[in-house]
Amino acid sequence: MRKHVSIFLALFVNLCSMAQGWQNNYDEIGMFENGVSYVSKGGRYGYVDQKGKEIIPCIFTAVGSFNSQGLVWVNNGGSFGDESSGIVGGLFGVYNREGKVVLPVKYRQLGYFNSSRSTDGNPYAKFRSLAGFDYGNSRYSADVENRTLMKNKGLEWVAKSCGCFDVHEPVPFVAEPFCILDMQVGNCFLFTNSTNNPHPSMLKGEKIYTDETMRGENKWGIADANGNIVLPLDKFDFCYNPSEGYVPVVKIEKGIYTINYFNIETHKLQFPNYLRTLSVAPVCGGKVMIVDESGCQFMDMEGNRIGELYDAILPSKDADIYTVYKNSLFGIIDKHGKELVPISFRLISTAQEGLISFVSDGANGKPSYGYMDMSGNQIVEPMFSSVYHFENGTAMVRQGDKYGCIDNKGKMVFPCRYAAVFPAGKIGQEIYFIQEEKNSPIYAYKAYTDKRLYQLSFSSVRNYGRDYDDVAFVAQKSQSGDKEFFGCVSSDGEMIIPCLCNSYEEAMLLYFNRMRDGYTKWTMSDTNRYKKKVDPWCNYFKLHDTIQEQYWDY
Amino acid sequence: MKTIFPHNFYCCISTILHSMVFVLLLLVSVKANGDTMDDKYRRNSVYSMLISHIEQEDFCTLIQGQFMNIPVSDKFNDHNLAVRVISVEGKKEVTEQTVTDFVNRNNIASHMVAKWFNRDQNTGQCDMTLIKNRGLYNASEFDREIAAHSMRGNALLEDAGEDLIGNTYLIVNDIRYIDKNKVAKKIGSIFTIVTMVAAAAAGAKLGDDYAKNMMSLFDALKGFSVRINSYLYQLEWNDNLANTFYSQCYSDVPSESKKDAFLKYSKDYKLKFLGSVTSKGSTTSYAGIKKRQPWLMVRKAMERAIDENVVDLQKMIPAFRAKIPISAIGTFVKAPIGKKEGVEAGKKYEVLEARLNNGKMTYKRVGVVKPNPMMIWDNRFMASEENSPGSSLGATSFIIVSGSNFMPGMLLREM
Repeated sequence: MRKHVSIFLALFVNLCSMAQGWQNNYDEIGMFENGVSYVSKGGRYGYVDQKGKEIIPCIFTAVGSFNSQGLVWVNNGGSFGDESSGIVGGLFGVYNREGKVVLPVKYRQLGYFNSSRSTDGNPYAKFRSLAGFDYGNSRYSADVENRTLMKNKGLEWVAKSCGCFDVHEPVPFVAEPFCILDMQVGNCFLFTNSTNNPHPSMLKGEKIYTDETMRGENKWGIADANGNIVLPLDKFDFCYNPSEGYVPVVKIEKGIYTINYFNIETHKLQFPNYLRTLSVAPVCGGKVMIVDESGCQFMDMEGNRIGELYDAILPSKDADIYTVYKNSLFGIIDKHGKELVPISFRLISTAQEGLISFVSDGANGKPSYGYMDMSGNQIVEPMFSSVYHFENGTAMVRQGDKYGCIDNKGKMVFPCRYAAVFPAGKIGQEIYFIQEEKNSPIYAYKAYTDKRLYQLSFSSVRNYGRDYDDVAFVAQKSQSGDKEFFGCVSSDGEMIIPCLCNSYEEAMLLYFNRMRDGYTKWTMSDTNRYKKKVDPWCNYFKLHDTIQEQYWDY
Repeated sequence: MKTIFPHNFYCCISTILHSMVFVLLLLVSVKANGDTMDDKYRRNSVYSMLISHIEQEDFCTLIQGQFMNIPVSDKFNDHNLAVRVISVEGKKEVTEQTVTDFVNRNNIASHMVAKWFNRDQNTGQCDMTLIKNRGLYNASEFDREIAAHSMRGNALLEDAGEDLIGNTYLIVNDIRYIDKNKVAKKIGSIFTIVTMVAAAAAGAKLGDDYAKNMMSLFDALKGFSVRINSYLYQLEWNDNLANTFYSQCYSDVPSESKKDAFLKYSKDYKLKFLGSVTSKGSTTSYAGIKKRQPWLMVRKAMERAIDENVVDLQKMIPAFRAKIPISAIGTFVKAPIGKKEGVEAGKKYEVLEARLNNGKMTYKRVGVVKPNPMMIWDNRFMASEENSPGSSLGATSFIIVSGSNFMPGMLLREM
């Protein structure tokens, strides 16, 4: 009995002391998030849990914040420079939320894969996939960012409809205090002992390809969230983000770039020889796209070429098929290289919502757009002057200067007889806004009918469901006609928010705030009051001023 | 072997420990029962304004921004109008007289009355929606009795006037930053920092200076404290005003004549000065503030100082004291009130039973309670982030001093 009481007493006292006072050990304590918080003492930083136990010792010059993968960077011995932001110098490491060392604190720099694409002027542009078009031939160069194609608008249209073989380049991590380590791409991070990693923007034009000093200065290692080494340090001149268990790696020799694929599981290079290719592509479906002077072709990871050689290969955004281009004609192949749609079309889109638009000669002998399914069966004969991409199950189409709308079964929602048909805001949309003639009023129509429901007196509209379910944001011209004001209507045409806002965004914010507050309808008065509430001029008065009535909301 | 402690000591400890376990279990069961909170009770309505000192240019903008972020306490109805901030230039002294002059010159009372009736400035149209909502009246019964001009209807209006409109307050907070530790640097780009902070909050990607400026701002704000003078005014509402309003100015349809009549009688509405208090100006701990959100330091200091002032004003002015509903009954009476509302050991609270009799709300005292010193909820802004004791309680537990048969929904009010 006495023994039990003693033990209980000792435990209790211990608990009490733990519950109180550990905070006094530190100069600063941050905000607890997921059970941990940073602490600081004497200019050093670490992390504690809610009981005050140090999970990361309070010995570091700087620390980051935990990212969504539960990792945080630390730095020892660095300093803040005057000119540059972030920590300069010292050594970096990475911990997880349990206090385990994921990367030992002995590396001079951390990095991540840039989720956005690099701009033109990057010498590695040749090593990026450029939507399969430009391999030194400027005639069909395509910029991945905006999918523009020089000299050929038709190709632009095709490129815009397709995806591209994205690879991401490593970027040095700028360690600002409490920022997070970006692991968005590939769920991994990079580390290196080089401090001369050139930022891509520093490299100019093609001269860099022959710069021998660039060799061996960009050697990154890659680690995953558990600290497993994905790519060992100091082995490869350059690398891209991992995909399907492989890391594209680059060898630079006498200005020549060649690539191989590092197998993460075996820790060996996949191919016995580096490949000379004009493009770096990720591994997709167990294959990569190889580009050389003769064209583009798939290759499996055993090194066997798959399918035909094409001038360009473009992946689809939402299906495992590829648009291919050869001898100025387009077709579609599947992931095995089998032709789904013969390469016989002047222009073709990738599959969108199960349909592929194509250009062929129509009944009138003129090039026209039609639709086919993914097996190449014609669903809608070529009869449109132009077509738009599918969105929410429908696409706008045009014949001459008249517009209509088609669904993804090939059925006309509205025939081509209107000046404008506003796109669907959601799948299964039942009401569309249509402008019958140019500059005429806008009417609400029931889908698949020629039945007018009601007239709208608006100069422009965003269709129902596009922004919020069952409401449409509309614009009305001012009396002088030089300005537009924006509001919101319900599905039966009733004005929910009068057209008093200065922009669509303002009207949407108004709608969001009021619906959150439980209002189903809002008067002109409510709109005016809200505008005053957010008007900064209402709060610019002095204590000795008399405030005019117009600034009061009541 | 000789024992260190005598036998009876161990028995005593054993008893204590067992009692503690028993109490713990009891507390757990109390917490597990009846945690539903009834938030349908009548609150005072408050309009809160800021007097900002432009000569404190470094922090004036920051103070304004953070003031606008402070929500109206859930113990009050939000009666804010569009105009929330007024400025003072130079080192002019702000006094009760200058504030009252501002309030009268701008006829703020009439705007507060207009808000009660949802009055449309352009058409003069009014309605009773806010009265019905805040007064917790049965909406259809209210409309029916008013339309019938019945005695009950009159009683409802009288009740609304007395208990709702008459319990509407204006608090004007004169806020000055105090550089107590003389560590604030003239950052010069403080305005830029504030702009960047606002942009960051909106999701903009900022340049490399952002983190560096956050560090500077954080350092400058260490030791940040504020001194707040709070001036309290009460909206006057009496039978004369009510009669004139309902007969001359109220219209549930657009009416040019009623609109003009309201403007004509607007000068009759007044705000009565009740009193003022000054906060202590103590330094707020920055525990719990992330380095990349240093502006929370400002909000924390201001919100806590404003809360302290509200508590002091309530001490001074009984009518301004809030009534808080009991949320649970057990060994202790629990209510969602805490340090933010000034709860501390030694204070006493009367328990009131609220009834709507013949259209009139009455409050009858049915008991007295006092806070359990070990169970006071710390609900001040960022109390949980700084791991303050009591921050996770969710409600304060009160010991019954007198009375019995308390029920959830009855109200507590400080005595």
